Amino acid sequence: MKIHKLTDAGKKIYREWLDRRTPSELPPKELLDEPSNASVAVDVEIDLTKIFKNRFEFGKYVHDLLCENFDAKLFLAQKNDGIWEWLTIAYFSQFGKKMSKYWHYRIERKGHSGSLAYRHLARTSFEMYWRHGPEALVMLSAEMPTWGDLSEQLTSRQNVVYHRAYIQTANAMYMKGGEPLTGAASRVKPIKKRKRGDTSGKGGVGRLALAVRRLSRTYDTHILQPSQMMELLPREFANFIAKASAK
Amino acid sequence: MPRLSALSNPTGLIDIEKSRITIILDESAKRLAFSLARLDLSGIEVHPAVSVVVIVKRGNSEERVYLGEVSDWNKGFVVLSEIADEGTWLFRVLLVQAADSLLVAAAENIRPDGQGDTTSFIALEPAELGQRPWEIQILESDGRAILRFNKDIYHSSVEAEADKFFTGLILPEVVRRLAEWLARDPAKLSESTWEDFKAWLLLHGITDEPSEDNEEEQADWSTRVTAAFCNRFKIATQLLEARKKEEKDEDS
Repeated sequence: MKIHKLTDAGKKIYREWLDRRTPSELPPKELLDEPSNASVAVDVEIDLTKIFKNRFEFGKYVHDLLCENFDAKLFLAQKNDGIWEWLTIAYFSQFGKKMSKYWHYRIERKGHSGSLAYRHLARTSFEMYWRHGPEALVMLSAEMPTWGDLSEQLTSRQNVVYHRAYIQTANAMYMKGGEPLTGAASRVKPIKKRKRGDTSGKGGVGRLALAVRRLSRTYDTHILQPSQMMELLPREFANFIAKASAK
Repeated sequence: MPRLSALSNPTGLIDIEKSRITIILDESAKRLAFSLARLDLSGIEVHPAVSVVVIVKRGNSEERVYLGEVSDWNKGFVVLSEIADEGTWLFRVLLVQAADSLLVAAAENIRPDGQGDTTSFIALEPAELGQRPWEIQILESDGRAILRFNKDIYHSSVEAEADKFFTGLILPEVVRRLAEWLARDPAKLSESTWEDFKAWLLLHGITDEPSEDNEEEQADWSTRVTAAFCNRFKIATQLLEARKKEEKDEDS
């Protein structure tokens, strides 16, 4: 089937269905190719029977299909949000295995603190693969229906999510055998809740964002190789760096 | 790495004043591009081989651009491939030691001058105008014009700008009047206060200036300036689309 995008009418039906869906229920089939609900977006065939191990595989597959002849930015424009919702429907048996928040299945550009489009499972998989290539694994290693704390921490910090060296370093430091290391997504507790000597969350991916932001005041961090970046990072990252070096 | 203090500046980073930098944007429909047109380093000692790097930020996106060595950096327009289509533009201009990526000098939070749009030399301002919908004021000493709109119609400049009919019908006329005013005394274009407008003209392919004593040439120049503005922003197409949308909304 060719890649479609939802029409306004299709979006309305899909959103209403999302609001009342039950576990393991699939979206109405007519959303896929009924002309009033969906129209061909690009003349590119897609295999709707394909099974993906994780969102990285999905992002790569869609990226390779779309970007052979088109500019990736075109598909990220608001006017093409319907493509990502159509793709979510097309692979809903994989994306929708859990009953997660609606913003993972439909593109929500208005949230209480800005756009939530980054939380869309399909769109972000494509965008992150386009921007970071194989290094995007660190944020897309979760299974298809899972958003995950690592994805949230890496993609929600929008001042660093496009920072190539940051993502490359995160991928080198926090991944082993295609899986994230324990503690990579841990967060530092607020001071009031933190006991003396509690170092949980230190050296995690959230702290890396902060460290890179600080380093960028002194270095042209965008072109640093992961090994150079690791040399410059403070001591709290030593454990993860040691594990990365032992790979 | 030893802890760095924000106050001690252990690497001797030089702070470049914003006034030493001019960045021009090209936001035409087909591309997003910028030019680091001016980087005045007079009185600042830097090695001629350090690299000029610009970090372009817009909305949530960021793109790094290498412009060559400081002794001969690329002043032409550089197309941005990864930057977002929406959001506020901000630039960091960095001078980088190639060997270890250490910053030698930096200018932070630079906003583009002489933007490819008109905001740098046409401001919008609400005003008490009775029954008159709008008027134009040219501020010679500031090198810009103010489009004063009737505040009974629009409460804010954001509201006025959002109305495609208002901007589509009025802005070309404002540009024409400004062009006519300058065409009558083209020497003004050489004054520093009108640098933004001159940069805008260059970006739109207007490289000549009309003669001081030839009214026909002045009128032709003003018409070309207005046409360049309308072509770039596809004013007629925008109006047509706004009209179609309105008709569609009425039908539904």
